[in-house]
Amino acid sequence: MALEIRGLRVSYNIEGRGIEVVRGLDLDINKGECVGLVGESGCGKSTVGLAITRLIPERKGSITAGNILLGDKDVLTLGPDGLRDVRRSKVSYVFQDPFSSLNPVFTVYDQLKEALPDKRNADEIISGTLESVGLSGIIGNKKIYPHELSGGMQQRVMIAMAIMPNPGLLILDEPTTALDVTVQNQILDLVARLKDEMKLSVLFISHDLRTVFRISDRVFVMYAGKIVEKGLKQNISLKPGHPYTVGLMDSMPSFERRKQKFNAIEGRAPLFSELPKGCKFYPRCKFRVDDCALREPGMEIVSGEDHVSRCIRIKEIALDGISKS
Amino acid sequence: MIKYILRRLIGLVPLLLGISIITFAVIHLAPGKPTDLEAQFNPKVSLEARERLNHIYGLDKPLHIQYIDWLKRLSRFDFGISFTDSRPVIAKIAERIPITLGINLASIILILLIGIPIGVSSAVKEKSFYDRSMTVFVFAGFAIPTFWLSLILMDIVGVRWGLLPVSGIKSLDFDKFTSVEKIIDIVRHLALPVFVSAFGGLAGISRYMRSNMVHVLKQDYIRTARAKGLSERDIVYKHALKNALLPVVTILGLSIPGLIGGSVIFESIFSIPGMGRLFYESVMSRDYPVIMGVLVIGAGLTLLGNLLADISYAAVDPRIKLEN
Repeated sequence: MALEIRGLRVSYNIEGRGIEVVRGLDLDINKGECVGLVGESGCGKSTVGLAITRLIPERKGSITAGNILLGDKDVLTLGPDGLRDVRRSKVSYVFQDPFSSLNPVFTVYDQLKEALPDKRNADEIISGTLESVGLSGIIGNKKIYPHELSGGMQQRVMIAMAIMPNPGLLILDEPTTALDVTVQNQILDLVARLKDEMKLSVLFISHDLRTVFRISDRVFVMYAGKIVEKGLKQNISLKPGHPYTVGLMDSMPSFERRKQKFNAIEGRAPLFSELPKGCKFYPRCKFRVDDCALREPGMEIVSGEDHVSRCIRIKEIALDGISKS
Repeated sequence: MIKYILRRLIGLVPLLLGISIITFAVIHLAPGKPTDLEAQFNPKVSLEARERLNHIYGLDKPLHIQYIDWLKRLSRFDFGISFTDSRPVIAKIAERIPITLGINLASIILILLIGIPIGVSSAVKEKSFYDRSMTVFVFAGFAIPTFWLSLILMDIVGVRWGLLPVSGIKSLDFDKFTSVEKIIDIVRHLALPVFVSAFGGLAGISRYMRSNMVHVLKQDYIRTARAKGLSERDIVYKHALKNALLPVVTILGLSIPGLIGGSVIFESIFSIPGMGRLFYESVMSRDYPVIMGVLVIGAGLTLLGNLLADISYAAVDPRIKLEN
C-alpha cells in the first residue's frame, strides 16, 4: 500500500480556539493507483493533502490524532530529519497555482536541481524529466526563469519537479484549477501518462468531479471533514451511494443536458464551527428524514465491500448515476 | 540598458534645472541678505557703502540675471566663492564631505549588518518573545532623541569611564601620530557618533526587513520549497531571504543622498565639522553660493540615487527588465 490514513483529525486555530476541519478521516491508496479526493471548497480536502507530509503551518493548525502510514513508517511520529527525507524523496506535491508556487527569483533549472535528492548526473536526469513532461524546448536552457513560461509550462515544471525523485506518492492538489480548459486537458493527459509509465501512486485532489472521474481509479468523496462515500470510479459514476455525490454530479455542466437547468446542491457547505448534529449533509439533502439528524451515520455498503457510503437511507432511495441522466 | 541609463540621465537635466530655479528663488527672496552682517547692524555704514557691497557680491543685478550668471558658472563646474571667507565653495564642501560621508557610511553599514539579521530572525520567530523584545529594542533606538542619547553616552563612556573622546574628529596632537595611530584616533572619535546614529536608524531597516520576510514566508513558493524537503536553513536564507532583500535595494538607493547630508544637532553635539553644520552656518549668514552648492549637489545625488535604485533593482530581480 502506498498510503494509509487512519482516523486523521486536524484542527485549525480560528480566533483563539481549535476548530476541527478533518474529523476522523480514513483513506488508502494502493501502489500504482490513482485515488481522487473530491469535495466542495472548504471541505478539508487540501488540508488532508498537506497533512500527509505535515505541511500545515504551525501557526495555522495541527494534526491532533490519527496515523499516516507510508509503507511501514508513520509520518506523524517522524523527527525533523525523517520528515525531510519523506518530503525529499517519498512524497511529492503539485499545487494549484504554478505561478505562485515557483520561486520567482531562481531559475527553473536551479529549482529543478534542488528537488533531486542525489545531485549526480543532475543535468541528464533533468533533461530526461523535462522531455517526459513535454518541455523539451527548455532543455539545456539554464537561465530561464518561471515568469518567462506560460501557466501550462509552469505546471509542467512543477510536475517535473515532483516526479524527479521518483516518489512513492504524488499528491496533486487542484493541479488544473488555475489553468485554461485546453491546458487542463493536456495536463490531465500528462499526469495519466506519467502515472502509467512510472507506475506512480497518485492522490488527486479536486472539487471537479469530472476531472476526478477522468483520471482516478477509485474516488473518495469528502464532506465536512469526513469521507462520505468511497468506491471504484465506475461503481460511483453508475450508482452513486450518497445524495451529496449525486449533488456534485448534477452540478457538472454537460452537453447532453445543456437544455436542463443545473441542479446545484442547495445551500452551502456548513461552517466547521457550527456543524449539524447527525448527518452533516442532511440540512441540504433532498432525501432527509428525521432519523438523519439523530447521529452521524457509519459506512453502509452500497454495492459490495469496496463501495461504501455514509447514508442511512441508501437502501431505500434510488440515486441516479451519470450514465442515466 | 545603456540606452535606458542615458535616457534617464538626460531626463535628469530639466529636473535639476527646475530644482535649482526654485531653490535659488526661495533663498534669494527670503528675508535677510549676506551684507546684513556687515551693514545692517552698523549705523556708520552709508547707503553708498551698502550699495558698493551689494555690487561686489553681484546682488544689485535683477534676480534672473543673477541666476543665469550662477548657472553659467555652474556649467563650468564653478560653484562660486563663499561670501563669508572668500574661499571656493567647492573646496569648502570638499573638506566637509569625507567626514559626513564617513560617519554616515559607517552607520548605514552597521545598520544593515545588524538590522537585516534582526529583521530576518524576528520574522522567522514571528510573535515570539524574541520578536517582541527586538521590537522594543529597535523602537527604543528610534524613539530616544539623538541629542539625549549622545549626551548620556558622552557622560558615561567619555567622561566617567574615560574610554572614548567626546568631541571633534581628531586629537590635538594628531599630526605627530603615525598613520596607524591616526586611523585608530579617528575611529575612536567617530565610535560614539556612528553608534548613536546607527542605533536610531536600526528600527527602519529591521522592521522593513521583518515585514518583507513575514510576507515572503507565507508565499506558495516557500511551501513548495518545504514540500521538496529542503532544510529550514535553505528555505529561510535562500528561498525567502533573496525575495525579501529585493525591496531593500531600493531603500539603499534612496539613502544615497542622505549619506552626504549631515545632521546639525548631531554634528553640533559632537563638534564634528560636517555638512550639516556647513549648511546651517551658510544659511544663517545667507552665504548664497555655499547654500546653492550644497543643495545642487544634494539634489543631484538624490536623483542619481533614484536612478541607481532602479538599475540595481533590475539587476537583482529577474522579473524586471529596463526597457523603454
